[in-house]
Amino acid sequence: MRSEEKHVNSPTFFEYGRRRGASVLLAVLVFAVALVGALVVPAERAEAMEAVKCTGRPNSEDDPTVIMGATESRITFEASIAEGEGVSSLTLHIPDGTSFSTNDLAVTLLTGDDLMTRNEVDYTESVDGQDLTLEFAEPITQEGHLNILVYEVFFPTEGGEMQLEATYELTDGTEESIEGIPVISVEGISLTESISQWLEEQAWVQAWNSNRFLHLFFDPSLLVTSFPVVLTGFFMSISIVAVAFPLAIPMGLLLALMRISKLRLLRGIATTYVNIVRGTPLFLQIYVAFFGLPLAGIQIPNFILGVTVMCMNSGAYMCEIFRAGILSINKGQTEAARSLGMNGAQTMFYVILPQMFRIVIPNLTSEFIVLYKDTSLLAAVGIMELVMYARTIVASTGSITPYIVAALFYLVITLPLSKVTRHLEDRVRGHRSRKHAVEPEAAAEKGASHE
Amino acid sequence: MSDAVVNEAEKDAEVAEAAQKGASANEPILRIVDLHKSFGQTVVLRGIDIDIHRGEVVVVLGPSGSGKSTMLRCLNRLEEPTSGKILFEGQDITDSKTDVNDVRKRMGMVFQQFNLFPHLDALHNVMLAQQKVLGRSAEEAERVAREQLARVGLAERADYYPDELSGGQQQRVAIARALAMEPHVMLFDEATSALDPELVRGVLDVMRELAEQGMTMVVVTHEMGFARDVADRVVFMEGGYVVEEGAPEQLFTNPKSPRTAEFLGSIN
Repeated sequence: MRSEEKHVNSPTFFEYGRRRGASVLLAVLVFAVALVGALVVPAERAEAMEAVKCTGRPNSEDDPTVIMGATESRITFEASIAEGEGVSSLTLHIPDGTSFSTNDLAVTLLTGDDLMTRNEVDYTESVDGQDLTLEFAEPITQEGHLNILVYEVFFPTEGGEMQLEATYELTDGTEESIEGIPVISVEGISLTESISQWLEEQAWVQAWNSNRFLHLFFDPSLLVTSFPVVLTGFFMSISIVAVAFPLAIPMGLLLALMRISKLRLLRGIATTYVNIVRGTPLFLQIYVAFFGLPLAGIQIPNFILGVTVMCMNSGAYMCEIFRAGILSINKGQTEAARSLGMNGAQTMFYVILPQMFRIVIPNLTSEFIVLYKDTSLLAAVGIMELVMYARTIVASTGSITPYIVAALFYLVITLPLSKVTRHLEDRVRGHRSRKHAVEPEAAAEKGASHE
Repeated sequence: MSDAVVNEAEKDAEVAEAAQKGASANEPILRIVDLHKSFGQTVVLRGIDIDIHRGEVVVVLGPSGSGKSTMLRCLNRLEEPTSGKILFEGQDITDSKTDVNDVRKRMGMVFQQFNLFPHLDALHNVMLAQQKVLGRSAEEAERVAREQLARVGLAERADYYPDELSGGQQQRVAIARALAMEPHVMLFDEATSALDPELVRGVLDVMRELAEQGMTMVVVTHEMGFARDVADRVVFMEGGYVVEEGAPEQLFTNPKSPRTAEFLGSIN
């Protein structure tokens, strides 16, 4: 069809391009060309078989239109046969990397005006590498559509555009290929999905999953597929703490200094703030911020608001950590600094705070753990953190396993940190690691001479 | 302007008065006048009057609870006096207008518990206040610090942290830290009481040496030997009063007050 149009159009093009006073000779020439073109088209039409369709069966659990790699599918190939052609064999070349089977192979000739008449075709199949050849007992001469279903097809894991090729042989021995076969778009699947699929097939996994409890909480294949999804949430949770925690430190410090200030007003503000924040659930604070502020006409992006709420909450707890740390430092330190003429601020910054930080590091680590775990509360207001991602998979699979994966992501951070905290606590309780050994005192004193 | 003039005039008058007495060299560097101190209902000091002269070593003795440490801590206002005056180099430091930090940098203090800064090594313990209070450069502060550490016999311990030093060494670093500020008076608050007996000598040697170099010192101690040997004057306090004061040989050998005699008797 297309070539015909092209040739019909070409004279007009020439006419348009040339002046009106084009020579008759040229016109004749053009006409001749058009005629040749018209003759060529029937020759192309002589092609006996034309591709009608070539599809894969969608096999994605998530999307009913998607064909995935490494997952069982079926190829439907259909080509038209012109009347009286006499097709004696057909060879389908399945793309490399795609496996298939001849089990349940179905070859049907659809005939009739509406192509609703199904005719059994007598054939023998043979497979040579990626080539599936059908030898027809009787050459097909009837007009209709030859429909072939190939089962147990596994497209390549990485996916891609799958181009089938097909050739056929006529009774006179000429071989032709079928042009214009549509490609099958196959989506690649991730490593974890393929591992998960592999796991699903394993006997031990099936045995494992036959236990209702294990299946619900520890489905191995779901553990694997949840991992990358929950990982995204993990990064979100981590970035929330990574921003909120460092910001909470100066805030807590400021509040602590206000709480030990001589000025009643500063003390009052800080004490009130700390008491309110520590005396109400974080969950409630999140709700107030996320639902209250928009109602008041204040629009803040979710991430920033989430970080702010976490920071403001943690700041109040840190205030108490810092305050306790400052108060725990021997009064003699302040006296020594003041006796040297240092003022209150100098004493605080050069003498008290450096010592305080050493003391509170274990408590700060604990606070970090608490803050990290508390990011889960942000799921309630739609921030896509760890628990939220896990929840979406739980909702689609009905298994609790993604929550277990989420738990693992929390433990990955909290367990090593609590170990670090214990270690730091031991160190704070004991002594700083010494560079110099303390000499036997008496000897040192007697040896010390000065003039 | 007029205030300054008045102050100048007052000073001139004082100087003139001192000159009249022919005692300008003996003008007290530190005068404690009718000092009272109470903690709530507890009265600790009931009117203390002591004059301390430049270059003098005054040792304060007395049973525990007699108020001698409190008296000492009032001198640089680590404790706020309830009433009375403390005149330091002619300046009333109990006056609310007095910059107490300015006074403190001219008064060194050594504590019973050393109170070194544990997060800094010996050198930086001695350097810190020089830099922050006197505004000395790091180089100068370090030079002075090394000098003072050498003076107390700890030149090689400059990079040691307090918990790497013995109690005696820590106390000597604390003395160096105070000396680095070039104070006009040194206050010692039971500087050797927290030390094991064998470590006391090193610290006392440093103090003795300081005294020989002419440092004005107020020493609260239980070290009778030090008092006897080094003190120019011994003050005996009890119950918030100065019971007796005098030259050590007089006070130790021939105390006027029976309480002093009793106290010295119980110690020896």
